[in-house]
Amino acid sequence: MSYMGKPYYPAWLDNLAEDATLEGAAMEGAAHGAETVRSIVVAARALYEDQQFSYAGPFGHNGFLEVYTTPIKGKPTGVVVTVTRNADGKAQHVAVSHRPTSSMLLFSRLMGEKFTGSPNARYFTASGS
Amino acid sequence: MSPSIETKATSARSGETTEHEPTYTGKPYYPWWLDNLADDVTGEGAFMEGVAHGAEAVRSIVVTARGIYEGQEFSFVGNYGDNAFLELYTTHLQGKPTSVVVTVTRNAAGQAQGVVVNHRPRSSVLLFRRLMGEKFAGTPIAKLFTTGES
Repeated sequence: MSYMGKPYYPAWLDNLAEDATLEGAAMEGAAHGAETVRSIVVAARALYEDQQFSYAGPFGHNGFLEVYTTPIKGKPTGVVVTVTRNADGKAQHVAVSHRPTSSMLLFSRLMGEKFTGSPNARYFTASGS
Repeated sequence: MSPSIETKATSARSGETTEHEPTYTGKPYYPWWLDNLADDVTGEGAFMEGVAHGAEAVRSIVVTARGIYEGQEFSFVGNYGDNAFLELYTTHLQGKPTSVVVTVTRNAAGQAQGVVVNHRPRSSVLLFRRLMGEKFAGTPIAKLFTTGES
């Protein structure tokens, strides 16, 4: 993954609040807790085939925004991530949105498959649904 | 376009607060970019399949979307980066709580060049998509809401 031609790693992923939450267009409900949020984000990143960031930086006083594209199973996908920080500077809330609809549903299905048998599966669509 | 939304937009600009009117920090809010779209602006979103092209199409979609929203409570509106604008808000769709992230990129003339609107959770995306498909039934825009789920 790269941003402005250089390797990029989301620092917030290693700085999650203990009670961090994660939501998304591909999810139903909010995931709670740093371990759960990190697990979902790490699994998502494994599905991304080539993240090309057009923006990664602050917004407002306590927000961080990522805008990137990536293929998912070869399908072009746009992604917008908002991260809000708490008073300690830790990532408190993460929201991730994929587009278009077919990419969002594909991503949800693939995540559901990855988490089959785990509590995290409930946020995503079941295979074939 | 929806006359009711145009009325709301006008009242927002005049500073009056009415039921279901968009608000930011307790005051009426109207998105500047909606009246400043580039001729070749594009519109995308999680609820769409493909890209809407042109100011008329994008404005029609956004105005119609605003007609579906049951109130808009903005938690952030402002610039990011050198040429872009972000809106974060919550709304209800047929009573269902929904969060929305909007990114707007500007061209060199300061006009909105690319608009991306993403709803969550997934059920809200699909509900909104269905409602938009119904609103645009029989028009070329409908295909943006009726393909891509298979």
